[in-house]
Amino acid sequence: MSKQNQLRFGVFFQGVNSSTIWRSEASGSQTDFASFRQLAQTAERGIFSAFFLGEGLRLREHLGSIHELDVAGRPDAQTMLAALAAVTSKIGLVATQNTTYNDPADLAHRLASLDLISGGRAAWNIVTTHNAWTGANFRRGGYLEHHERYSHAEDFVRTVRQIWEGSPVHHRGRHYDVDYTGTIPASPQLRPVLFQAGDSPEGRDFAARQTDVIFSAHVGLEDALQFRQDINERAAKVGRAENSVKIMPGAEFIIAETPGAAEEKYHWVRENQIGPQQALAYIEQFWGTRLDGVDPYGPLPEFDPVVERSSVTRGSGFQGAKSLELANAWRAEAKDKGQNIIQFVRSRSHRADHTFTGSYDQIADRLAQYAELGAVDGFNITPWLIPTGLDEIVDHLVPRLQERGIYPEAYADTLRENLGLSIDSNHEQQAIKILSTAQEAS
Amino acid sequence: MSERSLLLALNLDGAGNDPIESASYAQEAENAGFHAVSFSADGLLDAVQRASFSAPKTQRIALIPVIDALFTEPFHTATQLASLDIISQGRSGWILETQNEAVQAQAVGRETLPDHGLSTEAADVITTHRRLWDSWEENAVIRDVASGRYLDANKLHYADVQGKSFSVKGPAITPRPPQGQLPIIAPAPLFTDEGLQHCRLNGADVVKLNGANFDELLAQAQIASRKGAVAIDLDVYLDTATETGAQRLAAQGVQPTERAEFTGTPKRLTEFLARFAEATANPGDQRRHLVHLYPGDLRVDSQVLIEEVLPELKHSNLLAPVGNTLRESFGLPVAKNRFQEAS
Ligand SMILES: Cc1cc2nc3c(=O)[nH]c(=O)nc-3n(C[C@H](O)[C@H](O)[C@H](O)COP(=O)(O)O)c2cc1C
Repeated sequence: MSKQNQLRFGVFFQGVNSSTIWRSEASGSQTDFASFRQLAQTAERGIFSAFFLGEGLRLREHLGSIHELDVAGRPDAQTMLAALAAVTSKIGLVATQNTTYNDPADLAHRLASLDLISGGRAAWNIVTTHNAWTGANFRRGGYLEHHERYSHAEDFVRTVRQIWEGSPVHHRGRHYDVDYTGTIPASPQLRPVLFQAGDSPEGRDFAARQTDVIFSAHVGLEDALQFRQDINERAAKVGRAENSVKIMPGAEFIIAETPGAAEEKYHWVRENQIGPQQALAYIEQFWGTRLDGVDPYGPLPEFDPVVERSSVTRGSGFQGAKSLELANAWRAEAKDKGQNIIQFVRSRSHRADHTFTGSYDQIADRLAQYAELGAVDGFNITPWLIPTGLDEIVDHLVPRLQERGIYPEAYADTLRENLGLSIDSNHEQQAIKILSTAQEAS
Repeated sequence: MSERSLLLALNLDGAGNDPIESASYAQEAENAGFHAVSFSADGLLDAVQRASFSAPKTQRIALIPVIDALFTEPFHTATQLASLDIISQGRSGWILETQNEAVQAQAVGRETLPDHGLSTEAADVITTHRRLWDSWEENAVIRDVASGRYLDANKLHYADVQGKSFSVKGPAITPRPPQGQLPIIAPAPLFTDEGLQHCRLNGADVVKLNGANFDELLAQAQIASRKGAVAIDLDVYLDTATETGAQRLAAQGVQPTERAEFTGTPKRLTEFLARFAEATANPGDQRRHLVHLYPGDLRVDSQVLIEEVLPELKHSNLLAPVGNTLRESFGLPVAKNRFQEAS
């Protein structure tokens, strides 16, 4: 199999989400450094390309008060990654950071710092969260309109790139100006790798223009193939080569020695992710009101939602939907399938996806199919247990992928190389040359 | 009661942008008995990240970044500092600066502040940090399987800071740091009646004095230490067997800083430090006082400090014990949570 069709793994330590199981005996701390170190070191043992941290700049709320049911409370991404740089040596370190509530000069400085501190292993996962609710934690407040999020992001990323290139920046922005000259030399990978996560058409175009890798939400094979094609078309329009924008969807792996054991584990995972309270809260988001008296083991509420559009758990990144239409459709679906509330929510949740539930060999074969078809460049794995959630993947799945020739046997030096990225602009090629000449000289 | 009241911090900027070298200096400083190492901002890699990189490589020494309070986002710096405290298990603090310069302001599209506004701005920024660090009670993570709740919302609080130039809603996105409240060290000119306060709920813990004249510095330290913990900054160029500190200083040809400059023998430095310990000793108070050393040449001066100055200070019983946390080293009381007390 050609090297081009190798898969790479990243691990996404989510920190704030509903898929991390916190009620099991095996659930470790979400905050202690030891958890982060263990997960990162396990990933590095498994030659994972990247260790990802997410970002959410306001504590999530549900129906107007703090959301209590999911794991929450995470350390700052780059502060944590700088510490992890000291206890790992090869794995990439990826910080999700948004373009609305950071300043380009500060963020450019911090990311360049992380890149040098880690010896060329840093990346920035660019997100554009812009709501005023999050803005309430920042000096500028909520200053950006929804439709401006990507034009602002694009200005922001251009400014950051200029700073990294070392040129004096005099940016006159719609919302603020930036006058700054960077002080940090380039790292062995020249600049941090750029990831993007955000699925709207504008987000995809932005990624096609500006970024190296997309952290996507398209994990099923058909879906992944379509997404690949869509991105290739968008990239072609801006003169980028086919497959030069890498794609790594988020994925959950539930694997075991046998198919039966994996299926059993699947049910255990879902039950622990979605208990009665989580199921009710999920429905509450769309009904717009507390469902305190409602039996989670009974049918969906017969009364209609009290809101026209769902407000959904704030900070969770869902879009609003028309509530009544949705309620009618869901009641019909649940009735049809004979599901109570918990069963319905467990089956509906985007994680109900069975794509990567199976025996070690089944999943290795399935992944080989993705590699063969070139559907993705890898996966960003979301472990459902912290900090042991990668153990089986590293011990049992990775060796099988290596046997099949679709997974790296060893690390290269920088994250850029580990992801198989080429430098595609003339400008950057020029800069790389200067950098490597300087390194040879020293 | 002049015994064991002195804390020593060593600035590691001399290690430049090499994190591995900086971490190895931090280890040496830890073994030698320093209480803290510091990382400042000017032109080098991010100070918080340099501190954080050294955290897993050390056990007891505190790691203190210097961070500007004017042209940064209080929500971000509060999160970063809390995270550093989590990673280092209670070994971080904050040396606050107000770099009121056009270069800093224009980098983030803002303007410099009028001088009379610095104190209140710093006070607002510190209040934001304090309230965010209290916004999670210590036991807000309950993992209660019966009620399906990971968090207890009653133990989480909005910070609701309304400063003169900004507001912050909260709560923090990071749990309460292990120290509860990180020690904040702020420069003396910021302390005013209507602005920043010393040793108050929303104030700074340590007042940092600067001045070129040693006797004046000691006199100021003596007065300030009646109220609370004190820090002084010192540039040090120490004599070695082969050259004097003064020769090294002259050879470096550096711009003088606003810090007092010490050149001379290790013995004379030890004597000065003993005088500082004497001046700040307060029988009625547990708090200890910090001398923050900026080595003229990290490699040379840290060696002299480690081999000659610290052993002598230990011998004279002047060095305070290194606490499990930086608060403990400073002798600061356990940080109570304002929200917990109210409920
Ligand atoms: C897989 C995936 C992971 C994401 N993770 C985060 C995150 O951790 N923090 C965040 O603020 N946004 C995250 N987002 C991105 C936001 O959802 C996105 O920036 C926002 O919705 C606006 O972009 P859009 O309209 O193009 O979706 C993620 C998106 C995807 C697809």
